[in-house]
Amino acid sequence: MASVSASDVKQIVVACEAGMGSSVMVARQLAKQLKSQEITVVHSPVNQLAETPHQIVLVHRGLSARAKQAVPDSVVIIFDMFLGDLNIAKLVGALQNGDTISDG
Amino acid sequence: METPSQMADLLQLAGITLDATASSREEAVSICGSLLVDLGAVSQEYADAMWEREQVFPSELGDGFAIPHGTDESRQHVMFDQLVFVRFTEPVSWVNEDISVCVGIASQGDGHVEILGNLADLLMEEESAHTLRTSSDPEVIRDLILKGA
Repeated sequence: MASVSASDVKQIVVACEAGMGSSVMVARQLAKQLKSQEITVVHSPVNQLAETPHQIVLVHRGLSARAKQAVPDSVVIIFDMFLGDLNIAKLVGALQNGDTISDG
Repeated sequence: METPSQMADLLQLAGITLDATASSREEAVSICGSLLVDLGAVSQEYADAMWEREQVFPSELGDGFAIPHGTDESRQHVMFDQLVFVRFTEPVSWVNEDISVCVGIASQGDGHVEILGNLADLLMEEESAHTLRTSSDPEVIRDLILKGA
């Protein structure tokens, strides 16, 4: 199980199938919430994850297997809702508290 | 950074329909695709890819909104970045919820990121989401999405 310390997180990538719809919206919401943390949030199609620098991958449940396959050593956080997801809120809290973040 | 005029081009009044009717998810996505084709933003191949993608991975966001769009491969059939706003007089049964508004997306690159981010912000706010659901004025909807929350 991959994990990363909050202080080492510089870039989070939100992945979706095409990288043009839902990942864009999730990335925007997350970037707003992490404004004061100096963490960059980008979005990407899931098949370009390996070429996109990141410490954490955020992906919808339906694509989580593909994401884990693409970047097996990365921390992969799974969400179910594009707007107002609890797992994403938990991630924001962990980053703000300086916790260690694991797959989930 | 997008200039205001470029961003304004992403959603045209001609791309806003407030009284669409669809009896199925497929028909709803097809209405979005046809509108994008009519505007000259995409070819029919892209419109077809929107439905292919929708079947594999539904684009519903929650709160009655969905954002149908094509696949990564079908980006080659996009002539220019464009959004369409299609509201249905009766909600359309999707996978996990009923959808009353589809925002169809065509994009070659990241030109639409700002405006889609605006939409996400608007949906997180009760009042603006309500306006998007109920306003009968296409200009109000267009201005709201272009300006953001």
